[in-house]
Amino acid sequence: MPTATQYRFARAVLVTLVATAVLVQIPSIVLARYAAHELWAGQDAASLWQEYRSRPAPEILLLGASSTRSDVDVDSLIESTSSLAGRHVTIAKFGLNGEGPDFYVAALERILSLPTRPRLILLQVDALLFTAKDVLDPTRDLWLLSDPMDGEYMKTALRVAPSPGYLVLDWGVPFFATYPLISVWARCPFTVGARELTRRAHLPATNMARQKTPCEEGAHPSADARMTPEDQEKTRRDWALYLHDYEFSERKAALLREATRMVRRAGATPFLITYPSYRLRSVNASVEERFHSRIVKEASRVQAPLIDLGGYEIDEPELWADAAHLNKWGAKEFSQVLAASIAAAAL
Amino acid sequence: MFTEFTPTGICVLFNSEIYLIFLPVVVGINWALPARFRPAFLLVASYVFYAWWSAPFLLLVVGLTAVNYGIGWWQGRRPERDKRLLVLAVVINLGALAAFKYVGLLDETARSLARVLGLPDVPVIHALLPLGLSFFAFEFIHYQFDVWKGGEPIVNPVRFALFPAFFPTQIAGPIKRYQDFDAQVRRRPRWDSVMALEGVELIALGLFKKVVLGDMFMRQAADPVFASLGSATSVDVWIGMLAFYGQLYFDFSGYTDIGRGSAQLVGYRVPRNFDAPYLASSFQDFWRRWHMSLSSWIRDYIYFPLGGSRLGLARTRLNTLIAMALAGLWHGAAWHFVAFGLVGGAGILADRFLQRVLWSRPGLPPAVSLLGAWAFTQGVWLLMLAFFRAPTSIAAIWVWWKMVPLDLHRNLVTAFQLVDVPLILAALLLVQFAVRRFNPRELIAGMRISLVLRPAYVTSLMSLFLFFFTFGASTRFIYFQF
Repeated sequence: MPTATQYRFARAVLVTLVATAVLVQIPSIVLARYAAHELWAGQDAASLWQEYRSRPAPEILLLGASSTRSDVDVDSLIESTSSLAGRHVTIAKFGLNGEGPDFYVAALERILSLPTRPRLILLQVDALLFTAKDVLDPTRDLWLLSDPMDGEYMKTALRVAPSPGYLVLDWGVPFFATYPLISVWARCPFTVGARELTRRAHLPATNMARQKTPCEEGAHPSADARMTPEDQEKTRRDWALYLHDYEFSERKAALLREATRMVRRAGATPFLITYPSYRLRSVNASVEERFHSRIVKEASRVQAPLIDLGGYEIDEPELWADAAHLNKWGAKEFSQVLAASIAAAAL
Repeated sequence: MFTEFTPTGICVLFNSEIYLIFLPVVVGINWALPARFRPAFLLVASYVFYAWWSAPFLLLVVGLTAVNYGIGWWQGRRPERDKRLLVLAVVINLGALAAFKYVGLLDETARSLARVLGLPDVPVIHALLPLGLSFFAFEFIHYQFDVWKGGEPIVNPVRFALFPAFFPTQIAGPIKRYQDFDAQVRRRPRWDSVMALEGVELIALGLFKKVVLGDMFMRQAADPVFASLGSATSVDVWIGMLAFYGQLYFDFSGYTDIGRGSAQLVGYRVPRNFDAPYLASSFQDFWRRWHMSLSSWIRDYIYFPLGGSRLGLARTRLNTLIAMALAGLWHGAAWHFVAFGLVGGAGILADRFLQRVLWSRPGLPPAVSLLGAWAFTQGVWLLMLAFFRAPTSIAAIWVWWKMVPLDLHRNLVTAFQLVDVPLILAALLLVQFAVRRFNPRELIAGMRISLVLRPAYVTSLMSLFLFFFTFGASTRFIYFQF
C-alpha cells in the first residue's frame, strides 16, 4: 500500500507531466515552423506565406503544386514578360508539392484577404492533382498556413480539408502536427553523425548512413539536380501508380470552380495552366487524354482561359531534375515560353 | 464461406496516433462520469475500439458474449452445476475459434492430402480471423469452467460483457481471470494517482519497447534474414534469430505494458504477462515468466484436466507434449506452430532430465550450474523461435541447419546490426536483473528526486518513441494474429 508521501509525489509527477504536455504545445509550433523551413529549404507553406505577405502583391501570381515551384524561374519570367509587355511586370509563385484545388481555395482565402491583390492568378492543373485517390493530403500545409486570428481562413480550411478531424486535432493539440516535422528534422544530425562514425571506423555504411538526410533532400527535387535514367524511370513508375485506376475527382473540380469564383470576386482574372513533363504523358495516355478534354470543358465552364503547356516538349534530359520537374536551367529556358503564353493570353 | 467479407476499418493499434487520442478521451470521460456509469461507458468505449476495425465482427463478439452470459446465468441458477452446459459452452467457443481460425489449416491440409493421394482438388477457403478471437474464446472457456466448478456467475450483463471486451486487453490479452476483474468492477475503482502514474510509465515504456527496440532495431535486422533465407550465411541467421528473439519479447511485452498502463489509467489492474523471461534458467521457470496468462490458462484448463503429473511418468510426458502442442496451435493455424509447441514440450522434458542428472549434481559449482541451465533454456527457446518465425517447418529446419557451420561471413545483416542486436539483448538482461534486484521505482517512489526523475523518464521514452515513430518503422503487433 503506497504511503501518503508516495501519493503526494505521484500527484506532483502527474501534474508535471500534464503541464509539460500543455506547455510544450506553443514552443513546438515555433520549432516545427523552423524545422519545416530547414527541411524544405524555405519552400514550405509557412515560409512561402511569410515571404509572400511581406511584399506588395504581384501583378501575376502562379499558384500550384511542385511544377509551379520547379518550372517557374521568377526572375527570368519577370524579365521576359516585362520585355513583351513593354513595362515592368511583377510576378510571384506559390508552389507546394502535391497541392491542388482544396489547398488553392484555402490559400486564396488568405492571399485575397491582403490589402493588395494580384491582377492575374494562374492555377496549376494536371491529372494527378485531380485524382479521386487519397494520395495527396493537404492537412499539413493547411495547418502550416493557419492563423488562429483569421477565422475565415480557419472555416475555409476546415471545409476543404479531406480530413477535417485531423485538422481540428492539429489546431487543438498542435503537438500532433508539430512532432513529425520536429522529429524528421532532428534526425538530420543523427544521420550525419552515423555517416561520420562509420567512415571513421572504416565500416561499411549502414542503411541509415547511406541515406541523404531529410535536410539534405531540401525542396525535393532540387533545382540543381540533373535527371538520371534512374530518376526518369522512378518518376514514370510513380506516375503509373498514381494514375492507375484513375478517377477524376468531382469534388476537386468543384473546388477549382470555387477558386476561380473567389479570384473573380476579388477583381482578378483566373487562368488555368498546365506544365510540361519529360515524356510522362505516354505513361497513361488514355488518362491524360480524358483529363485534358475534361479540363478544357472546366476551363470553358468557369470562363478561365487555359494556358496549355502540358504538351510543350523540352526534350533535353539535362534540363530536367526528374521527369516531372525542370531544374533551374530548364526553368530559365521555359520562362521564355511561359512569358509568351502569358503575354498572349492576358497582357 | 468467408471470402466475401473483408473488414473495411483500421485496427486501433496501441502504437498509433488514433490511440493517443482515444485513450485520453476515454480516461477523461471515465473519471468525469459518476462511478456507477463507468462500467457501461467502458463497455461502449471497448466496443467502439473493436468496431473501428470491423463493425460486423463486433456482432460476433456480442453474440458470443450473449451466449456465454446466458449459459453462465443458467448454470448459476441450477442447484447442481451441469456438465452438459459446460460442454455446450466449450463447443460453442471452440467452434467459433475453429470456424474462423482453423478452417484454413484444415482446408490446406485436406488439399495437400488430396494432392498426395491423387484425389480431386478441394476448394480454397480464405478464412479471416476476427481480431482477438482467441483471447475472447479463452476467457469465456475459463469463465464457464470456473462457474461449473462452483464459482459465482456474473449476473449483471454490463459487468459480464466488460470482462472480455475491456479494450486494454481485448486484442492481445493478457487473458484475465473473471474473479479478479469482476471484483475490481464491483469495487468501483476510484482515482489513484500512484496507479495512474505507473500506468503512464508503463505506456511510455511499452511504446519505447515496441517502436524503438522491437521495430526499429530488432525487426530491421530479423526481416531481411527471414526474407532471404536462401542467401543467408550462418552469421546472418544467428543475428536474425537473436533479433527475432528480442523482437518477439519487445513487441509482445511492449503491447502488454501499454495495455496494462491503459487499464491502470481507467482504474483497473490486469495481470502481468511477462516477468523477465530471458533471465529464466529452467523451462518451468520460463513458462512462469513468458506470456504468463496463457501458460497458466493452459496449465489450468488443459494440462490439469488431462491429469497433469498425477498419472505416472509416461502420462506426464504425454500430457506435457499435448499441452505444448495445443499451445503452439493456439499461436497460429499452421503446422509449424504445432512443431513450435512440440519442440517446446521436448525442451521441457529435456530440461527436467538435465535438472535431475546434471544441474543438481553434487560438486558442480552453483554458478556453472546456473549458467548452464540458463543457456540451455534460452537456447531451446531460440531454436523454438525458428518454427515461430519461419513460414514453414521445412524453412525452420533450414534455419537450424544454417546455424551450424559458424563461418564468419555475412551477407544480409549490416555491420551495425552485427553489434547492436547482441548489445541490446545484453543490456536487456542487465537492466532486468538490476530492476528485479533493486526495484528502482520503489526505491525512489517517496523521494524528492522522483519529482524530477520520473517525468524525465516518461518524457525521454516518449521522445524516443516519437522520434522513431516518424521513421514509419512501426508495425502491427505480432500477437494480433492470434
